[in-house]
Amino acid sequence: MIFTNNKIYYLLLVISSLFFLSINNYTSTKIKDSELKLSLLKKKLNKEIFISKNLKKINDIFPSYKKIFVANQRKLFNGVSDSMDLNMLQSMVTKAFKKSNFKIISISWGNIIEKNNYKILPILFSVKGNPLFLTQLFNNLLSYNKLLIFKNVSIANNINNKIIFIQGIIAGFKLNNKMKNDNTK
Amino acid sequence: MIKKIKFLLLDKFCKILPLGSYYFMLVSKPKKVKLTRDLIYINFSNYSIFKNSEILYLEDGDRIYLWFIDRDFLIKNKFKQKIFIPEGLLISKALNDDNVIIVLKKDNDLFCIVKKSNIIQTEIKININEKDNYLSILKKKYKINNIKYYDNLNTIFFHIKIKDFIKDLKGLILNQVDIKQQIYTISDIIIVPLIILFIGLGIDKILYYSYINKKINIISKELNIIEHKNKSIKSKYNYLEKENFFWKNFKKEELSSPSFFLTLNSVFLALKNSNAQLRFFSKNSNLVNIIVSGTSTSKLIKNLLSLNIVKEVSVLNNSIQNNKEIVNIKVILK
Repeated sequence: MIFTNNKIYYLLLVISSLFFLSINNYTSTKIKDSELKLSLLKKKLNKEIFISKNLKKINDIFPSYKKIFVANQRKLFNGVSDSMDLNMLQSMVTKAFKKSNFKIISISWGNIIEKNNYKILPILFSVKGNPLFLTQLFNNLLSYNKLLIFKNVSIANNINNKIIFIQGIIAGFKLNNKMKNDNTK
Repeated sequence: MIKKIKFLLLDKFCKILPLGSYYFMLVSKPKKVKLTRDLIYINFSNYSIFKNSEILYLEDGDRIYLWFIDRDFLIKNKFKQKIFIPEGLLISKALNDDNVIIVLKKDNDLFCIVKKSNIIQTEIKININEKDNYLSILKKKYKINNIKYYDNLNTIFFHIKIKDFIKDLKGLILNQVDIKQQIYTISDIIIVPLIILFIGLGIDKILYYSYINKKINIISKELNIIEHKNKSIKSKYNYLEKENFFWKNFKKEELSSPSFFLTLNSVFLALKNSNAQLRFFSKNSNLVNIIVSGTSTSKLIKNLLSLNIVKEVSVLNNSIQNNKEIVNIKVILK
């Protein structure tokens, strides 16, 4: 007969309830944390599975895209120091003007402008020459295969002598150190 | 099976007092008297054959059944139950015979229950050797000739209708039964299931916790494998995303307006078509300022507006020098 008023059963009842309470107290927060961890892991796993399924697609497009990006980056300056790059840019610009028969009135470095991921290397210039050589000037600048942009340019025309005066900024570009480091990883 | 369960349940609360363990008496009930246990004790306890006795009673019309029980007998047996049903009462209710002398043989004892006009007249234990004498006395006394014999009736399996006893319950409940004992009786029923429940719930928690941790381990391993596989693709993806973001941003900031070369080429073409002479040209982002002479302003504006790169043209200033019209024009590029 299991029904008995034997004190050992009451003792067992107390022990079993204490066992349950302590287990419940010990595991409830741990179970909650584990459930949260499990759901996060599942989400992460699903994301990885999704990435894995798209693996082939990214592998397919990667070489062509990388080629474009590498080519684009070659059009930026990549010297050890900014001064070296500015010096190189100035000599390129000077050569281009001279080759295009433009006479340099003045040429100097501007202040480097720091953007979020890149720097602008400006060369301030003032030249004069025949407008017929403008196309040649642009072609000469293009031949360096560097991304150069004219900024704040003004052209004054002397009609009688058929000479134009050009002054403004030619800007080259360079990745900043943060972007460079990330790309080498 | 059902009978057994019913018996087990009934047995927890009701005790059938065996014949011979009590002393029966039938008395008349005074009219308009409400019976209470105290009243029964005061009036009838002195009729008991026992030194210390408990009394069970039952009202039946204008009669009262009294059963005297030896208190020592109750203490000795430590009955857990609170309700007591005398076996004689049970038999007389279970057997529907009336005007009968019921003779019961239980082991080596012989008991007689006399039932007349549906009232139990007496319950007595008789000597087996003098059975006939006793029976003839009973026959004469109660004027009953019908005698029925029963041998070892198993009364615990009698079909008991609880409703038959409900109205008489107060007389069949003994107050002096230990309340603590009754609490034990009730708690005994639930104590073992409670122990099992607590242990079961505790084990369930442990098993669930271990199950979740196992699952976490499995998924972590799976994740590590797939992450390792995806490592190269992720770095490729990050590279593409980063470069794409950079060049998009670069284009937006540095290449948003038409290039100097394209602008100059286009403006020169418009000036040539308008027979105008350029005196001054400046470009700052998407704003172009030109000063021209020797042409019709409206024609020049028309030609400038026809260029794909031009969004808006406006005349800032208009003057005449040496019979030539000099116009200052502002051009906003797309």
